[in-house]
Amino acid sequence: MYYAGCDIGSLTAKAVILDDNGILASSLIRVKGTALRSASEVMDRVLENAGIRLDDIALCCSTGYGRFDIPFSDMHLTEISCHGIGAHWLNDSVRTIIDIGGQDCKVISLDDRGLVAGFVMNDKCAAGTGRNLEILARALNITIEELGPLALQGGRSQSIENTCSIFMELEVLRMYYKKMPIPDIASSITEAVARRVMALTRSVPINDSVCITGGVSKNSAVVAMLETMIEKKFVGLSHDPQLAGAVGAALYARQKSAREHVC
Amino acid sequence: MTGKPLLTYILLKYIIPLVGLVQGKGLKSSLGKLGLDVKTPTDIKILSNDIRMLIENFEGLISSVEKSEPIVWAEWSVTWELIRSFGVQPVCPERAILFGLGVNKNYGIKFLEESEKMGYSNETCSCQKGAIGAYMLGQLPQPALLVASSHPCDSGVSIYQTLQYLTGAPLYVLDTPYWRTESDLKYHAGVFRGLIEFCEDHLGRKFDWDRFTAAIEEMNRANYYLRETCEMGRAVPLPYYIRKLDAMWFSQKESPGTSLATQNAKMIYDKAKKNFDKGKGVAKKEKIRVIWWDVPVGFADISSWMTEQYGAVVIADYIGLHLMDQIDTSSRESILEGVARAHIYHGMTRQCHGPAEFVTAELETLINEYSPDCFMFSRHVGCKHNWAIGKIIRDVCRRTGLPSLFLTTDIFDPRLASRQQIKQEISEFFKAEGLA
Amino acid sequence: MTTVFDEIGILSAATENSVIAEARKQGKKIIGYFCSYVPEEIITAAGMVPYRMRAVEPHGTSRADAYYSSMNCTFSRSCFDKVLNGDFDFLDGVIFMNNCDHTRRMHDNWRHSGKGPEFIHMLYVPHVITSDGEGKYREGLEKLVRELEKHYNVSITGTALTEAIKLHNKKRALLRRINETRKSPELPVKASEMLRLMLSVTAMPVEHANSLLERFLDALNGRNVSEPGGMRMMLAGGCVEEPEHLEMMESLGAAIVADYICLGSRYADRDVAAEGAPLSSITERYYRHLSCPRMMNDTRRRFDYILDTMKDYRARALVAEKLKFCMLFFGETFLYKEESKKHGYPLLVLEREYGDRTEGQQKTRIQAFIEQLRNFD
Repeated sequence: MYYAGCDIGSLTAKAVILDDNGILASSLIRVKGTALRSASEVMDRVLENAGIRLDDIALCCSTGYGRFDIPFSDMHLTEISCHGIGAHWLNDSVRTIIDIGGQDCKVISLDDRGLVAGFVMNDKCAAGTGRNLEILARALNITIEELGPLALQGGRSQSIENTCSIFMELEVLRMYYKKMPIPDIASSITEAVARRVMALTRSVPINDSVCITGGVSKNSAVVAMLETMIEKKFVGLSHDPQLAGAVGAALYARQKSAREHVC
Repeated sequence: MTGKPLLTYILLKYIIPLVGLVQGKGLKSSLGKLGLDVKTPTDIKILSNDIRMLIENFEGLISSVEKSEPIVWAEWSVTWELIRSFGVQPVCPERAILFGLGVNKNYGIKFLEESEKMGYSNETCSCQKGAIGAYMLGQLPQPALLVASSHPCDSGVSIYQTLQYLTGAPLYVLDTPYWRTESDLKYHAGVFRGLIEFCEDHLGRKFDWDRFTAAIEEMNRANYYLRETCEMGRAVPLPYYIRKLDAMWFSQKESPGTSLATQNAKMIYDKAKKNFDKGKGVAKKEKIRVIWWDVPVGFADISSWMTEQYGAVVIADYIGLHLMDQIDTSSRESILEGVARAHIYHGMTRQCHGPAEFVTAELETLINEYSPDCFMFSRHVGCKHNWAIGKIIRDVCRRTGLPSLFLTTDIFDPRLASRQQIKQEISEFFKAEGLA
Repeated sequence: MTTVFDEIGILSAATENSVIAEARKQGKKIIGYFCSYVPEEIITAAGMVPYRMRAVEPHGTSRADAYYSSMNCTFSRSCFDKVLNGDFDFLDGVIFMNNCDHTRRMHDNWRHSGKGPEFIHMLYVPHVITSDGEGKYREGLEKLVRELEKHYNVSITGTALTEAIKLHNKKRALLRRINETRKSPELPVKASEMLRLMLSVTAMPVEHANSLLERFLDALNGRNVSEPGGMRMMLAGGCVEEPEHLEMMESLGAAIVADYICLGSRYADRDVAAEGAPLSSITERYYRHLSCPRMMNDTRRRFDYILDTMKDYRARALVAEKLKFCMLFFGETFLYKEESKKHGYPLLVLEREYGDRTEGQQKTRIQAFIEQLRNFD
């Protein structure tokens, strides 16, 4: 039997297909114009990767901001619950998740079953999100992919004081025009973004076994900075952390189908 | 000139010119803390009295903690003379952020971050956030009781309920009337009477009316000098330095009725009078006269910078404009009525309680009588009531033809708008308006 | 066939509903007011219709933002925007009170705008509940009575006040009876319907409101709107005035069975005493009814109310809402977090803006909270 999880976020859409043994296939794309288009395309790709058809899927669960608009989805759950169960399934020691996505960041606390015990999210403000990093990288004429490695090379000569993403950009531009080395500015950006995330993490206690998910989990500098700030190393997940939400959605679909807890 | 101040004065006279050559911000900032705006022996004496008053209060606090004597938390707008007449030491929790920033900017920010960790958002007043953060970090002593006013704003109304909950200490509210009619002042006097009874019950101490009366009489002397000084603000060039008057707001709040506070008030008055008589101003060359509306920025000395950079002097701000009447000390009733009136007329409460007319009437007086060249509204994020009357204030400026700058600041949080940003906006404003 | 639920749907959505329009045609004056501390009985006794101000049919805030700023409450801005748009031109008078910084400044901005009506009054209410404060509040009510009499050339007699008290007591009693039905496991009425009801009955003459309430109560007999798996919750907050928002919560599985909101149980808390001088009884009831966070010495009573109500109504969790920039409810919801830790009830705090139609963020939080509660089942 096959079960699908579809995570439609603000910047990327992800899909995962599970069978009774584990992950059969996965797919990740940049979002298209509408949630439906994004979901259709990412599902088409993952089905192709899996070598199966939509009719072969027993149940599909959608999550993410676009979760309500998916006609081929049989159920929907929030990305909070899905990230929780997904990350826990990928590493059952996980008890806290820091998820930094395109437009929001969350801290999720789990119980030993991988179920959500508490959460906090910041989605009103771009500061501390992938979007914030993209904007600041663009201000330096570099790509988001280049930002992390450059930041790792830099020292940190000047803290970015502003907490608003718009004023952060102005501060970065000021540093750029003062001809501060790009790696140093990149490092300052990383520290500022990580600090914004940290402000959130203090509302939900960080357990010893904490992992990071979401697109920003691929930014090595932000990861390193957060690890320094929380004084813990993130535990790894057995699959791409950016897919944790889609994995969780598929697990919930499987669970509903089998009517049993996934642990 | 006396010995020590003269020596310091001479040293500073030679150090100050060197400051222009100093590149690093650290040394310049440290010299500023020593009193960069200190130019004469009188300034040194005033500063020394300020420091002495501060030390006395801190010593009182430390002694109270060591002897397990009661400590009273008194909110921002509550002056201390009544509470001190119980022989107890008050502390102002909102001042914690100011001290934190003064010691080291990051220390003050730690207080803010601690409260934000608990869930306080950016748009909460940093005075109150600082108080919460300082308490949670163990930087404030446990209070025996709390005294708060219902004005100037919702932040105070809210935060003192929170502080009461967190500390478990009883709270007395100085309920502030909306208007200033005789009936309102009588009601408010009754509120102060209630404060005395409340403190007697909870502190187990008798109120010392003689001490209180003596303090009020001394405050009257200081207030006379301060009011007279502010009246001289009509003179061009400006004969006083607003920072000194701002500092007196704190002195009259936390060391009211002390001879040091009166000495300072007199020295400020004497200096202003001397300047006034000679037609001399505090700026080397006064070019711009500014009405700074709202509380001055607490983490940066913007007024000194404006004077140095542009010859711009601040005529008045919320707390530097002292308009206290003399309190009639002929009876206990008249004292309480006078104290009630003084509470309402205290800088910040005066402008922020009640209708917008309390803001605009004072502003129009300043515009009509104090020859301003421009108006700056600092718009501290905590003062939502000020943010809500932007058009009313703009219309006053428009009607009077006064160029106006509306900033966005947080008076104690440089993360919202940094010193550089504020200076940049002011610079651009001066240039755009042809004032500089 | 139009049911009473359809009726309140139409009435609650209109700024000037058909009942108000009819009352005006009959020559009745309509007096707008903000806040539960303004006694409706005084307005009714003056022969006028009390109209609780609202921001339904919002146009955004662009006009109001010329007066206000982005740092102010969106309810106040939305409401004032409607004022500037002429939506409230049907009012013959407005009574403010000094409840919060944003609304007290509306009193200033409204007068400054030059928009009518002529009668714009500020009622001062102390920020503490004390005997001196009650005297001060009484003074404010006497002044209000005098000003209404003078401006409208009417007489507000003791008899008229007594009659008004009876009518408004009946209204409050009916509302309490309706609220009580929400204790039942077979929930007969949704929170969104309750809010529509409140919006309706606070914008019509009290006699009409009482008739509507009686029909509404009848219509609840045998009604069951419970959804399978509905999570019983209590809702607390200030300006929770958008039924669509509550509908959204209900669509995600929330069954809001009790509340502590302005247009909710606080409105109907306690009757005015029938004995004693009517203005004294009115003073006592309005001054001492279940307070909102503006009252600085009543915090414990408000928290105990929430604890007791959650128990009585078997609410599993508390959802606390505040509008952005509302300092009063910020402090209150901050303390709810402490209370929830102390007393062990699940709490979700939501911050939103009035008229915010970008629901995605709210939906995620609410749905995640309900999913989390279900994890404990």
